[in-house]
Amino acid sequence: MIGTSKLARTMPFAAIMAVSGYFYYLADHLDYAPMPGRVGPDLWPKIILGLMIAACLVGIVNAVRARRTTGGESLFAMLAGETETGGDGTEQTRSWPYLALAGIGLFIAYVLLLDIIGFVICTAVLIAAFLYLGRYRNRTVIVLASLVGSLGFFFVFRRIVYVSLPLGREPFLSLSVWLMQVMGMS
Amino acid sequence: MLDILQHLGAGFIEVFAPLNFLALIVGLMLGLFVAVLPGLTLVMGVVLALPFTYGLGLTAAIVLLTAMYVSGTYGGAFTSILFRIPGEPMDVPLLWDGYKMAQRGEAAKALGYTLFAALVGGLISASVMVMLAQPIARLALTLSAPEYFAIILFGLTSVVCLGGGSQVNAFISLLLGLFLSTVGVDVTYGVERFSFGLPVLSDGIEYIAVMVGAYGLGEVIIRLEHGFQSPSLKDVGGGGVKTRLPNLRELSALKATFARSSIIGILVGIVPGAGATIASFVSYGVEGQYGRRRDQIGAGIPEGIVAPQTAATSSVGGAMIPLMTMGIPGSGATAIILGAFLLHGMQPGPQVFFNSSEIVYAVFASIFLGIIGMCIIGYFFIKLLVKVLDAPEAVVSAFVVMFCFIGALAARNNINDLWMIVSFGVLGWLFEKYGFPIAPLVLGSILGPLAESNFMTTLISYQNDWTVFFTRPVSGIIIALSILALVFPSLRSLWHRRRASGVAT
Repeated sequence: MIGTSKLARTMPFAAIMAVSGYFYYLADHLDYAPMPGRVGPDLWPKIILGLMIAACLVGIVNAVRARRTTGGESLFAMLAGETETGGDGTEQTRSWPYLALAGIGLFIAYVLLLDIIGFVICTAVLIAAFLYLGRYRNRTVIVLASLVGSLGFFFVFRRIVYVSLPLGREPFLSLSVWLMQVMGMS
Repeated sequence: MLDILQHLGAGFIEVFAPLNFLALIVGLMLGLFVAVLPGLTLVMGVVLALPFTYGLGLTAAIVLLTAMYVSGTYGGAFTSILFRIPGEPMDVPLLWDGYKMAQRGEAAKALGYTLFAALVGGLISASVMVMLAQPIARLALTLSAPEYFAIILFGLTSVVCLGGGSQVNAFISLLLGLFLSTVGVDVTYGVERFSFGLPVLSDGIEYIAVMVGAYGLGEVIIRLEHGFQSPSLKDVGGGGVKTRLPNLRELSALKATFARSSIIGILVGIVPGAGATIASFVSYGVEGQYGRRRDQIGAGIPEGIVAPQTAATSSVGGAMIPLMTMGIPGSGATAIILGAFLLHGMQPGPQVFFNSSEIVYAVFASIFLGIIGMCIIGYFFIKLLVKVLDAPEAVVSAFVVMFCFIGALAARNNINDLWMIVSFGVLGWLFEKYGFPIAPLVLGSILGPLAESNFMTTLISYQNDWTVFFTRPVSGIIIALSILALVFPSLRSLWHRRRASGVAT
């Protein structure tokens, strides 16, 4: 869990509580004609959101009181006993949050551009950029993975699984159509 | 009993149909590869395989995914024992004794014990599954909405109390999942909820999107943040990989461990929301507390391998029981199998169990064959399987991303679904950063619609009398168990703290 200050620990709970409060308000103003003596479609979400607000309050209190968030040890942790201290050799201490943010940016760009430049080019660029972002530097593998990946996925999913992968707009559309002809697709 | 065996026999014949058998073999291979690769979890692997099953018939699709699920509980043992690289979280307990045996030069023996544990645990649980499924399905036919709601509530609370880490965070994660399932048009009244007029939200949030995004893309973002690792077989000493089967005397000494761990695996598997990982950890913990050689556990003894592996594989049969008899998934992987059923227009449950028994028993038969098949593949192709470790994690992750996106596209051919995947990928990443578990979120989004419809049906049928959940015997007992499961860990920790402070003063 990131952050050690009380503010950092309470922040996620406060944020979830605020959002829950907003949705509770929306649930209270649902557009429907209530029937007398009968529960409405707002009841179930209100129960969930009410419990969520209560749980967030407990989370905030725990975060403020405790040195680190515990919130009650789970039964699983108690039974397993050694899970906390056993050590599996997979712990990772270093992290590069900017890489994660860049990765998210890459995925957003992919979704934005997919309909415009089509699946083949967009996927080839995504795979290459992702590998580069992941600090993988073997150029031959990057080129091969991006080309084989994009063309392979295109062939398998369009030809065999019949998924309508986006072809893009002109001039990219012509390229996608040409590739389809080369691959024997109508 | 005879009719069960008859159905099972017909199921075996169905599985031996060429396409179904091919699906079984492919599923077993994929499951083993996914389990060996540290960057790819079993649930993620089954999620990614789902789009490939759209074009298959229902039986072949379910057989493929179930085979992946079965073999996925076994494959990770190789890398845990040989190289101290757990392919799956469920394989972590195998490090503690399995790797120590390997360090002492007993790797082949450790792998032999693992193979037997998977075989025995798997076959026992599959037999129990076949025997229990019909009576449970018959019982399920007599249950009504309050009981169904209570069972679902029990599943939801158990995922909170059994999951590792903070219980409050797990509870919030679960509630968020339940809330996500309320988005879109409400099925009882036809009222739009929280959709903001957006068509993509009006149709509701598909739990497949939550699952693929949070598990698949979220995990990739986390790994990207921590830096990809590519352990080479040369670095970890990949030579001399083979399995030596234990003899009868060695196996006989482990009778109690096999029995205990099989029961734990089946019981944990049956509880909705608790899967192979929990079974593996709990079984190891129980062996450490009650086993004959509990004082030596962790020092590299066969019990430390047999207990988690037997429980992990036997959880499969247990998890399939609530899925096939009531339509309630018992684990993450069975939730995806449920998704495959729904995509093929079939809702598993007691009606399907009796009306389409040929499919149900074909799936059951495929589990028996899958368990035997995975052991044969594991025994003969172990060298080939561990070679997968040479694949760079960055390249594997890039392909996982593509499977996530194409999987989302394949479901409805709608690019808007990709936004869902990215959103839940970011949510999965944030959850990891702030210590919120993903499993309750996913289970909440899967069971949310079922929970709501049974809750609303009960209240409407019983004129808003909510006490009916407590006054009907079956639902009352199950709800009491749910509450107990939820508060017991907190009460126990409070009691321990008070006792500790009492001792201090």
